[in-house]
Amino acid sequence: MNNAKVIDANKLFVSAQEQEWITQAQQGSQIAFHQLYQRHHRQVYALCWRMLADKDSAEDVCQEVFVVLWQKITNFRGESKFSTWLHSVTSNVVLSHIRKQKNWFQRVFSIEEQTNYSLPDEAAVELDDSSELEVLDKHIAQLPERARLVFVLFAVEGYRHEEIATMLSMAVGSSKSQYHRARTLLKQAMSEAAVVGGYDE
Amino acid sequence: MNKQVSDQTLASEVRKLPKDMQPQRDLWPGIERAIQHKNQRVQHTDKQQSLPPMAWAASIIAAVLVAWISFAPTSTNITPDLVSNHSEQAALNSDVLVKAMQTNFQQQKQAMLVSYGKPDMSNLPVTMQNQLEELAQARKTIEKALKADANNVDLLNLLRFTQQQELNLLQQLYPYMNNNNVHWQSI
Repeated sequence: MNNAKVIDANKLFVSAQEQEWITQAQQGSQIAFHQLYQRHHRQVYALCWRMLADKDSAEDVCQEVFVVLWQKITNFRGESKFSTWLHSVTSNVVLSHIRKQKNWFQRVFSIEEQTNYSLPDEAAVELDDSSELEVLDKHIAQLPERARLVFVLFAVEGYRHEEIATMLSMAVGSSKSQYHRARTLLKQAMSEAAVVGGYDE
Repeated sequence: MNKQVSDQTLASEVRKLPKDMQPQRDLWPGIERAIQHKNQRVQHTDKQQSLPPMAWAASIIAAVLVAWISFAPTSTNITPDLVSNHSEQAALNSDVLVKAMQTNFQQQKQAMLVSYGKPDMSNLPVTMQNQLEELAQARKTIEKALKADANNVDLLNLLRFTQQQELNLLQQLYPYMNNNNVHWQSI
C-alpha cells in the first residue's frame, strides 16, 4: 500500500517535471529540451530502428526527429501524453525519410526492394538486449519493408489499421494483409530459430 | 521437424520487446548544432523581411531625385528677367532655412548615435551600409539643388522627407546591430 503511494507520487513528480520542461522548451529553453531528449531519445531511437532496420539510418532519423520536435513543440497542447505525441511525430518523420529515400519509379509502382526473407546477418543487426528479444528484433528487421512497417506500427506501437493505411497511403485491407504476412514470416522464422538454436517457446 | 510458434507466443514475445534502445553514438551534439543553425536562419529571415520597406523608400527617393534633376527646369531658365530685389531677399531667407534644417538634422543624427553608444557603422552588413549611403547621397544632392533654387518648396519638402527617412533607417538598424553583436565604440 505504502509502496503503491510512493510509486504514484514518483510518477506524479516525474510528470510534473516533464510538463515543466515542455513549457520551458516551448519558450525556447535548450536546457529543458535537452532534458526531454535525455528522457525520450532511447524510445525514439528504438522506434526508428525497428521501422528502418538500419542502425546508421535510425541514428540519423532520431536526430531529425528531435530537430523537428524543437520546431513543432509549441504545437503540443497536452491533449495526449507527451510520449504518445512524440511517437506519432517519430513515425511521421521516419515515413517521410523512407519516402525521400525512394526514387520516382519505386514511389509510383510501390516496388519493394527487400522481398526475400532470410535469417538476419549478425554484423548488420546489433542489439545489447537479452538473446530472446534480440532474436525477435532481428527477425522484425529482416521482414520486407511494408510488412515490417505495418507490423511495428500495429503490434508494437498500437496504431489501428485505418491509421496505418492513411500513414502508408495504402488500403486498410492491404495493411491487414501485410500484418498477416509479417506474422506468418515471423512465426516461421522463430520456429526455424527454435530448431537451429534451441529457441525455447 | 520444426517446432511451430503460435500466435500467442508471438504476441507474448512482442510484449517483451524493450521500449528503449541505446544508440551507439551520442546524438545530442548534432541535434544541438542543427537547432542553433535553424534558430539563426529564422532570425536572419525575420530581419530580411523587415528591411525591404526601407530599401523601397531609399530607391523611391533616388528615382525621384534623378527624375527631378534630369527634367526639372532651373529657376534661372524660367525667370531670368523676374529676379528682383524681393526674390533675392526670399532666396536669402530660404538659404537660412536650409542651413537651419541641415543643422537640426545633424544634431538629431548625432544625438541618436550618441544615445546608441556611437556604433561603428563599418561593421554593418554591406547592403545596409549601401542603403544608408544612398539616403545620405540623396540628401546631399537635394542640398546641392537647393543652392541653385533656394525658393523651391518641393525641394525643401523633399529634403525634409529624406532627412526623416535617414533618421528612421538609423532607428531601425539599431536593434539589428545590437543583436548581431556589432562592436560599439566607447564614448
